Amino acid sequence: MEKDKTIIELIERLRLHINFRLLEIVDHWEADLCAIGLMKENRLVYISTFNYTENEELMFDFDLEIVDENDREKFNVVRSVRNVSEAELVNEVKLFLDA
Amino acid sequence: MLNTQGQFAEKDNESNETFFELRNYDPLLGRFNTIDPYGQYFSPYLAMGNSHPNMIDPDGGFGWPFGMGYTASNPFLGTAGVGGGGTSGLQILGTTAGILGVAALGNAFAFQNAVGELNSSVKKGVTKNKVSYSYRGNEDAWMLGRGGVISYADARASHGEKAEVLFDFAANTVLSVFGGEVISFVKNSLLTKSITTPAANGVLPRSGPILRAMGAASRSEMLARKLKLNVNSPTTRQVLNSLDDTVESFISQFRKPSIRGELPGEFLSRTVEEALKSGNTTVRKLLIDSRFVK
Repeated sequence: MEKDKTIIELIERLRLHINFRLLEIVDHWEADLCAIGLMKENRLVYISTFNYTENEELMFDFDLEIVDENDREKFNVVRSVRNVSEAELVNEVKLFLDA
Repeated sequence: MLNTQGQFAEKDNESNETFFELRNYDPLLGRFNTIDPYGQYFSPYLAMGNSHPNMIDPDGGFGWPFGMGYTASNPFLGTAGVGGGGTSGLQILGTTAGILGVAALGNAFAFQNAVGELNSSVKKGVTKNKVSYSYRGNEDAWMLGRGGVISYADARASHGEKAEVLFDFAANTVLSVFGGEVISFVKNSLLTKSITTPAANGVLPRSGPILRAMGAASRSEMLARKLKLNVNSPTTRQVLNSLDDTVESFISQFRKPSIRGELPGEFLSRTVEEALKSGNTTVRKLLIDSRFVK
């Protein structure tokens, strides 16, 4: 998996807060070094650092998706959030994925 | 050169070149002077994937994301990979700290590092070596040893197959399975399952080498670097080879119709380059999303 260090380091930090045994790392964005997905059952969180990689304080964009369990290309974005801190991201991910 | 790259090389102060085990590097150009023996990137002279702060290449043969695979203190322990060879079951067994054991059950090959113990179910392809594993453009996979290619075909995974990766390594282990559906990495003895969609691994139209016309390659390469796109991805190459298309035209040709319902309409008349440069996260996400690739 080729990812920008902002994503790799984020995953490492998320492991401190979230139980990854219950999750899948889903990389529908293998072309994007600054994006990754976390999935539990039919809930997927898309996370992007692209707009903030040069920032002194790294911020995040994320989408919360409900995915059709029978067809992963069918999904409903229930929330799009931009320019949030890591603490906010972690809270949202924990709540959404219940992990 | 940045980070830990310098520790693997000797520098010639007269020529200013840096000598690695396999090739010489010109730090002024940021390129190797001879071709890549393993053909990792589309350009045989490209060094560290043009991502020098994030990559290291200890012998001039293969670049690794910094912090994944190689570590400065022990470049091999903690680097391992397994490619599925035709079954859906794949298990990787870790052992105690300092000893890395890897086994692919019912698959094409396995290897171990140092004195790791292999499960008796391993069928073939066992090698005791300092090995690492990588892939070529999401298509082929091979194992690399210090001496060169150990195994090529054995490490290839079939498209459309799904493998689950179980691992319980010691610390800071990187595990990668390419070519099939699984690409995963692990740190700190955690269990993770990682999946990429088959579409991303298939052969995509217009996903060949980035245009080589005068100026075009450098433009695409520079844009890929600026936009932090993975140039080893066929999806990236497809996008980079379509920069002057309108988003409307691009998605008509290369994306599933369902993407229209998600894309902000105002971007349809812009070029792909303009859309990506806009910084709009939704547009970037959707144009690259492999779920919509035809």
